[in-house]
Amino acid sequence: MQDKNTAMNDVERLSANFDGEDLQQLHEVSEEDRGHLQKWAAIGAALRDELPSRTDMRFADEVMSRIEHDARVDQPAQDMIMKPRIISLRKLGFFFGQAVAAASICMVTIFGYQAFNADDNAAGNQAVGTMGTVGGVNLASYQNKGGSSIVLDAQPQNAQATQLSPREQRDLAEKRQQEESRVNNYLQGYVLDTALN
Amino acid sequence: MSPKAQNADSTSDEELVRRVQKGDIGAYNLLVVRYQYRVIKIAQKFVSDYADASDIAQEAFIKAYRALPNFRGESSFYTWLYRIVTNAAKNFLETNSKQRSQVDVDDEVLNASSPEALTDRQTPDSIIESEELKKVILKAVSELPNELKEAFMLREIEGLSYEDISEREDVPIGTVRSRIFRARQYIETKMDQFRKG
Repeated sequence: MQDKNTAMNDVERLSANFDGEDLQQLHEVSEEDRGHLQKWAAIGAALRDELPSRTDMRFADEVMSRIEHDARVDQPAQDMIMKPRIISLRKLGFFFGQAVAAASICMVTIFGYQAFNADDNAAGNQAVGTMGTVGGVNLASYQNKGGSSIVLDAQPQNAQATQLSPREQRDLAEKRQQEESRVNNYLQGYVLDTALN
Repeated sequence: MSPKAQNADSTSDEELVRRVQKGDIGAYNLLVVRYQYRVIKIAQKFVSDYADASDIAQEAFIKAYRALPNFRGESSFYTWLYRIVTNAAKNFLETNSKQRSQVDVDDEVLNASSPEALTDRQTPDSIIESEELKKVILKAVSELPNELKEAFMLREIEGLSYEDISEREDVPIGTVRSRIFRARQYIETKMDQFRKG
């Protein structure tokens, strides 16, 4: 008996919702309720002379089932579209992160190296001086007669063929040392010359 | 329908539209139920065939549902829906006239005479001739007790809100709600008897 009363109250509430009343408590519409709504709509339309030539008691049901069907079909399609986007964003983030890390290492290498080799007294915005001619030798005008490319610290081409005696090796080392000190002296002279000017 | 009634309906339309925009599909069901016959009737002004008008109305409701998230309420829901229906009807006529010119006359005659074609267009049980239904409804309304009839007519014809009816009839809102519901129940029973008979 109580169930019957509750059901009756529910349908009464549905009737109020149909009239745009009590919309805060919108009644959930069951299959049976839809039948009520269709008939109530037909009653109102008949009284207002709004009925078309025929009255379809399932019209709203058909519209709603099409909308619900479309919503079900669209949902997986949207999921399919969204998933690759998420993946591609992840990938993009990964590559971007790698690029940032590589750029950071490059920056540290370049600026760190420059800072490490910088003169303690040198101002940050001081222009680097160009090397001028000192003692009749211009370092920039080195003439390479041996070939088109220069390999630093390269061994002589006939190094394997020529077997030097210990004495010859000592002489050679002595000559290298003399050459190094000559170049160093030249550089010191150049630095002094630049500083005085 | 009186201006006050239209105002009460459009207020509840606004509430229902807001609910649909928040994802409440049940609220759209109420809008479809409320406007289905008016929409089909508008479509019937463009096409004489009921089935075509019904198709146009279905398309219009589905289009409206899809476009509802962009509906900003600058006009009433019904005015907005009216524009969608008329556009759908014009599109239907345009497409149909193009298709018609492409269809061979012989094919058309063949299709029309085939049993399948006839069954597609045959009237389903849910579709009733409106004139007969209207007679049943008007007779049932005339049989209602006066207090039910008055409340019901004030709602359906005048479109008054329950609050306005309660003021007019000098009864509590709960009584108005109950009277309208009981009137609907009675007419509904008569409609069921007519359909079964």
